[in-house]
Amino acid sequence: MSATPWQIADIPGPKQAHVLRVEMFPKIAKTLKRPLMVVGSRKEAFEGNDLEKYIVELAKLMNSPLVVSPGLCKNFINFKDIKVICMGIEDLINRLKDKDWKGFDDEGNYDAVIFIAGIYYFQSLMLSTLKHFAPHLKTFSIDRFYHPNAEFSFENMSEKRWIQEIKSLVGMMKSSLH
Amino acid sequence: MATKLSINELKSSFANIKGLELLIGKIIEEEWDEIVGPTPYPSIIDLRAWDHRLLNRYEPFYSPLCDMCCLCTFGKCDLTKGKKGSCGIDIKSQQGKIVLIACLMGAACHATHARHLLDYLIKRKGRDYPIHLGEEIDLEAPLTRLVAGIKPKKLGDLEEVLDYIEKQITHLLSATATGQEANYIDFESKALHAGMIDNLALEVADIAQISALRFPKGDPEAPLVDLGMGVVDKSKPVILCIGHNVAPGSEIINYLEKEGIYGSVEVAGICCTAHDLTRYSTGAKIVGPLSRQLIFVRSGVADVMVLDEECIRTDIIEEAKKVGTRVIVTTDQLCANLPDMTKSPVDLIVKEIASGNTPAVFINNPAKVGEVAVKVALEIAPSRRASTISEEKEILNAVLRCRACGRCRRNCPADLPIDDAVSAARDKNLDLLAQIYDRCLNCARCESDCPEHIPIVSAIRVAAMEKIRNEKYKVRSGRGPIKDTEIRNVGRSIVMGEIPGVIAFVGCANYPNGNKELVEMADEFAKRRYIVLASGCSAMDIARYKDEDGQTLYEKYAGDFDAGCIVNTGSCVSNAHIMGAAVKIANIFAKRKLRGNFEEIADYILNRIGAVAIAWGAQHQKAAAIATGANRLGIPVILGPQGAKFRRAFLGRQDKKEKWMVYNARTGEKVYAGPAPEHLLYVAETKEEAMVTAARLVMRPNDTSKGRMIKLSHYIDLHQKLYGMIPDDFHLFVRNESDLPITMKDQLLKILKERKWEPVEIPDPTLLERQIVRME
Repeated sequence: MSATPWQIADIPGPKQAHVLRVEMFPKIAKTLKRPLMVVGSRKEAFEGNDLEKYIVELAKLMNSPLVVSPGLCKNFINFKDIKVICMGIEDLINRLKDKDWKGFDDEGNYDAVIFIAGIYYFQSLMLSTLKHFAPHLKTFSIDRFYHPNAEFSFENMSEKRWIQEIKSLVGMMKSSLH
Repeated sequence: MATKLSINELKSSFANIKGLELLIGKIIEEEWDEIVGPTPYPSIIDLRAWDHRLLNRYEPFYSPLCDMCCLCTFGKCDLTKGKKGSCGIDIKSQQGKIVLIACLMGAACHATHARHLLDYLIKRKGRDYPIHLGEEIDLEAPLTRLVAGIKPKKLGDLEEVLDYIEKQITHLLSATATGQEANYIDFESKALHAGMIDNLALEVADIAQISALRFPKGDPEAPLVDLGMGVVDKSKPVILCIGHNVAPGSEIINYLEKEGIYGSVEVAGICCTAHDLTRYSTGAKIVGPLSRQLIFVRSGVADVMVLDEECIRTDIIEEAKKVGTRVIVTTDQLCANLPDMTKSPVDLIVKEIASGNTPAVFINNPAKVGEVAVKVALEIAPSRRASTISEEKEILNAVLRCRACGRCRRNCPADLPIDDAVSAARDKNLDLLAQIYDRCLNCARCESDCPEHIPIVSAIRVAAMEKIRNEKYKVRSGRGPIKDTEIRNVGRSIVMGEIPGVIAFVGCANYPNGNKELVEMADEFAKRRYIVLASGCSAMDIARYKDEDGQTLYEKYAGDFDAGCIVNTGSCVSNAHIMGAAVKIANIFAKRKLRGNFEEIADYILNRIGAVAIAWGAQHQKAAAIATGANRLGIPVILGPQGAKFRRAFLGRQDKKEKWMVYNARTGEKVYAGPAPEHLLYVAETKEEAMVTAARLVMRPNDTSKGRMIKLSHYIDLHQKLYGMIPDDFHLFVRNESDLPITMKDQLLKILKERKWEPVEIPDPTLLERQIVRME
C-alpha cells in the first residue's frame, strides 16, 4: 500500500487526494445528502467475484442511484430496487460539473460522487475535470488505485485485497446504519 | 498569392490616374467561373463567428492532465481551485492554449510533410505537371477549392496554398505566446482554424503524390497487398522505411527497378510510409502500424532502416545499432546528430555505412538515399546478425530476475498486466506474455523503469514468436479520393438518411485493448450497411485479423464508397479524402458552391451529412489536428479512452433544449431540431459505447422520416444488443411517428406516451441566418 499514483507519472500538481481508509468512509457517507455512485468499465475487476452485488448494496445503503459505464450495463440491469442509469462517463461528468444540473430525478445536482471500477487513466482525467470545474462536489475513489485527482481516494492495493476491502465496507456501512 | 490594386480615379500633383489595375505577384490562369465566396484564404478571424456558433452548442470540456502551467519563467504556476497564473491565465484558457499548441504541432507536421513532398515532386516533374486524380474525378481538390478558393491545375498551384498554410500556422503559434490570446473560447476558435489548415495540408500532400506518382486514383479495386510482421522474406536483403514521406522509399523502388533487381530485395514499411509504398508499388510490404516499430526493429531483420518524418521513435536509431541495422535519416525533421553525407559520393557513403565505420548517416536527397540503401542492403545482408536462439534464451532468462515490484504495469499506458505475465514467464509459462503481444503498444515504458533491466518488449517478442511468424494479412492498398460518380450514386441516400451513416476509422494505434476491437467495430458497421472508411494506422489494424474463413475485412467487403463496403483511403494525409467526400456531397449532390464558402458547406455537413469518425487509438498531435479540422467542418469525432489525454472534448447537452434550435431555412423561424449530432468530440470508454455513440451521432436534423427510421433502428438495436436495454433518450430523436422503426412501433409509441412526447416539424435546418430563403 502506498499513496502514490497508480500510474507512476500521473502526478497532477500540488493538490492531491487525501488517503481514504475503509473505516473512514461510513462516517463520511453519513454526512452526504445526495451521493451518486459511478461504475466505470474496468471489466477485469468483475471477474470471479460478486463485485456487482457489493456495489449495488453500497449504493442502496447510501440511497444513491447507480450510473454505470455503457460497457458494463448488462451486468447491472437485472438488479431490483436500485435506479441504474446507463450513461457515458464523459457525458455524466459534463453534467456533474454544472452546478445547476437537475440530476436524474429533477431534484438538483449531487453533493458527492463515488467512483469505482474505472479504467485508471480515463477515470483519472474525469476526476481532474471535477477537481477543477466542480467545486460544489466531493469526489471519492474507492477503486483499487490511488487516484490523486479525487478528493479522497483508497490507496493502491491488490485486486484480491480490494475485493476484501469492499466487502468490509459493505459490512461497516450496514453496522453504521443500525 | 497575387495582390490586386485598383484605382478608379486619382488626382494628385504628380499625375491624374483613371481606371488603373495592377496585379502584383503570381498570376493564376483563371479557368474557374464559380463566383468567389465570402472567405477565400480565410484569416484567423474570418470564420470566428462560425466557430463561436459551434462552441456555443458544443462547449469545450477540459480534463487537465497537469494542474500547472510551466510555459514561462514565472512558473510553475498552480492553477487549481480557480487560481490564476502569474500572467493572469486560468486553467480553462491554459488548457485551450495547450490544445491549440497540440493542433499546431499536428498541422505543422502535415504542412512540412506536404512542403517536402511538393518540393521533391516539382523538382522531379516540374511546376506545370498536371494535377490529375483519375477519370471520374473532376472535383480534384474539394478542401482546396473550399478553403483557398482556387482550383489547382498544376503542382505549382499548390505552392501558394502551402504559403497560406505556413502563414496561418505562424500567426496561430504566435497567439499561444505569453501576453497574446486570453480566452479559452478564442483559443478553441484558433484550434479549429489550425485543424482546418491541417486538413488542407493533408489534401495538398496527397493530391500532389497521387498526381505525380503512380498511386491508385480513386480505384475501389485497388490491389490487395501484404501486411504483417510475418510477411517480410528474411532470406532476402531487407530495407525498412519508417515514417510518412514516401519520397525516399519510392526512390529505393525506382533504383531497384532500374537495376532490374526489384523482387530480390524486400522493401517494407512501418506507419504511413508503408501505406504509401504499397500505393506506389504492390511489391512493397506493410509490417504494421506504429505499435509494431520497436518489436520489429529489435528482431534485427532489417539490413537498412530509412527514416523520413513523423511517428518515428526517438530511440530507434540506438535500437537499430544494437542489432546491426544500418540507418539513413532523410529529412530536416530528424537529423539525430548524424553526419550529413548528402554531398558525398555514393560509393564513399556505401563504404562508410556498410563497413560499420559510420553505421547511421543523414542524406537529404531521396534519389541518393534510394541508391545507397539498396547498395548497403545488398552488401551487408549476407552477414546479417538476426537474433539467434541463444540470444532468445538469454532474453527469457532475464525474466528470472523479476522481483515482482509491479513497476512495469504501473508504467504501462494501457495498464496491461505485464507484472503477471513476467511472473508467469519466470515460472516457464509464456502464454500471458504472448497474450500481452496483441495489446502491447510497444512504448517500452515498462522496461525503461524496470529496476532489473529486463528487456520486457523483447521477451514479449520471443514469447509471441509463433504468432509473429504467422502474422500474414491482406490489406487493400490506399485508393485515395472518392470518385465523383460514387458521390452521385450515394449522395442522396446519405443526405436523406437512407444509408444509415458514414463511419470513418482514423488515427493511431493507442487502443485500450489491442486492434481486435477496431476490427469488430468496422465489421459490425459494414454488416449493417453503413459506408465504412479507414485511413492511417487504423486502416492497417483493420486488416490485422482474419475471420473463420481466413479472410481479412478487406477481402470480405468491397472497396467502393457505398453501403456495406470498406474503403481504405490510404495514409494519414489521405484523411483529406474523408473530409473531402463530405464536401463533395454538398457540392455534387446538393449543388452548394464551394469556392471560399467554408461556413455554408460546414453548416450543410453538420445538419445533413451523417458522417462520424472514430479515432479509437488517437495518440499523436496530428490526430488532434485532424479531428479538430473535421469538427470545424461539422463532422463529429469519437475518441477511445486514451483520447481523454488530449485534454479537451466538445460536448453537447441533450437536456438543454435551447442549444438545439436551428433556423428553418424555408420560413426563417427558429425551431427545435433535437440533439443531432449530440457531440462534436467525445471520448468513449469502451467499444460498446463508441458503437452506440456513433449510431447516435450520425443522426442529422435534415434526415427524412424514412432515413431517421433506419438510423433509429440501428441506434436502438445496437443499444439493446450492447447495453441490454432500449435507450432512455430515443424519444429525443423522434420528430413524428413516421420516424419510428416499424417493427417496434407499438412498443415505442407506448414509451413515447409515458414520456409525454409531442411531434415536432422537420425543418430545412441551418445555423446561418443568411441561408434563410426569404418568402416576401
